[in-house]
Amino acid sequence: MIKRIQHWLHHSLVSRLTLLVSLATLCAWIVFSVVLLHEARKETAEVLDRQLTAYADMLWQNLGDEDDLKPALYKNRDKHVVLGFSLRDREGGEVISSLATAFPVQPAASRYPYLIQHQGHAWQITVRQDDERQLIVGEPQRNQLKIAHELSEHLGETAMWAFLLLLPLLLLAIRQGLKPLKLVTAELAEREPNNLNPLEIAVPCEITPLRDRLNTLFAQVSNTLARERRFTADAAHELRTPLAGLRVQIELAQNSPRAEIREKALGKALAGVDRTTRLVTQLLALSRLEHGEQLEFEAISLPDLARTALIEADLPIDDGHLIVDQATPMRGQPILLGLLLRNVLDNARHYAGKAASIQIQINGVRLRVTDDGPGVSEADLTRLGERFYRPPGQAQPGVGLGLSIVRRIADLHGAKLQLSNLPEGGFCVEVIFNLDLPS
Amino acid sequence: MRILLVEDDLLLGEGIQDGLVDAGFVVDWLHDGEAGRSALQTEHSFDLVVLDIAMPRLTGMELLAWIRRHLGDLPVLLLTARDSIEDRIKGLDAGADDYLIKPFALGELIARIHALLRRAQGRSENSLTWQNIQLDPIHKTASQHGQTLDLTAMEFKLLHLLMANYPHYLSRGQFDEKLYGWQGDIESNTLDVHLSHLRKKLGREVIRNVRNLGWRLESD
Repeated sequence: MIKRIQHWLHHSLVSRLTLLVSLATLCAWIVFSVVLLHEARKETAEVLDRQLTAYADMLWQNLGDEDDLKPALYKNRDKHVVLGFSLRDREGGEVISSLATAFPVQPAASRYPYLIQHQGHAWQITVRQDDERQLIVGEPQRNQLKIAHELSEHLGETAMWAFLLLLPLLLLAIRQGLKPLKLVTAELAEREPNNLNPLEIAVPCEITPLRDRLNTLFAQVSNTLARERRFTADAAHELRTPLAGLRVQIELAQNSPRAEIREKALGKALAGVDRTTRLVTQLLALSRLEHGEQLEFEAISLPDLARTALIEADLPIDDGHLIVDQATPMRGQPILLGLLLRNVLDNARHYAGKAASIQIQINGVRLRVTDDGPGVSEADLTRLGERFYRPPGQAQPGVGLGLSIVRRIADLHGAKLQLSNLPEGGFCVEVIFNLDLPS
Repeated sequence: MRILLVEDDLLLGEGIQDGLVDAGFVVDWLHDGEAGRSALQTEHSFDLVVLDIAMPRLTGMELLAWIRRHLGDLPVLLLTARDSIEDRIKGLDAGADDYLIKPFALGELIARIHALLRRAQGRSENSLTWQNIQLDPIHKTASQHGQTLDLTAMEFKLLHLLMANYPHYLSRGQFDEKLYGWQGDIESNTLDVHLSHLRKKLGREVIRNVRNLGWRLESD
């Protein structure tokens, strides 16, 4: 039950606000009523006390001789007594009393009424006396309480009606107050799923952060989508082109009237399959890097990784190919770093030419891979590493993903990637690692 | 018919070139848009351009725009991997005559090239007719008075060129460009030899030679 109420409260802002405002109103009313009742009771008591005092004074002044008093007149009117009195003589004997049992003798006269217990009831009494007689006038306390209760009953009833009247008004006011929120909701509901334009509606300052945050999110999603679309389009191009090449070559192998073309086409088709395989492998690697889980770093040795990469690239591990000036222990992800090295070495081999010599230098956190090939033009240097970007006039079967992967892996390691032409000719890829790895 | 192929992918470019040569075209292949533009600027004997959209230096779209500005209605067939409707509309709106999405069948590319050439020459049928001679460029057959002509590949190409360009004269230089593109190592009298063989098969008076103008078909 409590859970359902909690659910309901969390479910609707209107219910939540209505309930909270009602509770607050109710609390305020209760405190207000208590204070009011207390005051009413006090006032009633004061008025009744003044009345009692006035009665007592009147009776005292108009009290005649004992002969004039007719005790029988007042006897046996004990029930529903509103006011009672007893007159006693100097010795304390009862002269006359309106009650069946007269008030007991009081120690002194008192203009201010006070409370006594008499015959099992509480009485508010006032006392007048002279040398001869003592007059005690009293009023049952329950009269006072009755008036106070009646008063509080009335107050309660009025409060309840007011509250019942207030409730729909409250609901209406809250609904009206929440209208701007509904505007936002309606605006969002009407949107096409692919509409990521910012919300252009005027809202109160409380909702402005929400709207602004939504707009920021829209912009971010829009950017991501655009990037993904571009990537998909590029990837589609890069995949479809070798597939088209494969298809054409296979058709030639089947149908060309020239025997030498048929034979050449089969070889080309095989190369095309290798290239497509390489592309798919790289796309998958990149996709895993982009959407990968948290990386787990471990202690690595750059020289060891470099040696492995050189062996895989079919290059010798001698002083001409690997120079280690200083090996600094560091942390990293060995599989990804292996992929990074492999891609850099592949690039060097592909683009520097078959005769070029490739060298890995390790100095502390700096890893340099250099070749003595022709390097790249300054214009291409700035665009290298963009996905699918390949310098024009490339005869090599790359797809322009290798450096994107290298860049991404460097980023994941908090490392800096620098690409440059060497002054003496050749190209240099430098990865500067950061010893404070991002956690 | 001479075709300029501008495609940066080696595997595909080489395949298309071989396939189109098999189909009887003369194909010159360039690897980027900039080179394509210089070629089109200096040579005017291309009958059609096959153009890849995504290329380094000058994209296919930019080259297409350049062609439309400077070369009028030279037929252009776009090759692209982008298959969205928007991309196709963009390509056609930019002035492409046709559009082929990778990967495609060689046969379809050839058929579309034939269709574009047919349209460019104002024909509704594939076969060319000149008086009593008929020539089918797709099946590479030719006939005269309903009798099949037994032509060599070079003779067929010569007849095709003469028929397609009628009534204009074709100079020796134009013949060389259209027949060999940039591959040709042409001996100076090869054309004369082939033309003389063709003349024997068609009848002496059918091909007329005018000094300084070149050759064209002409009876009587």
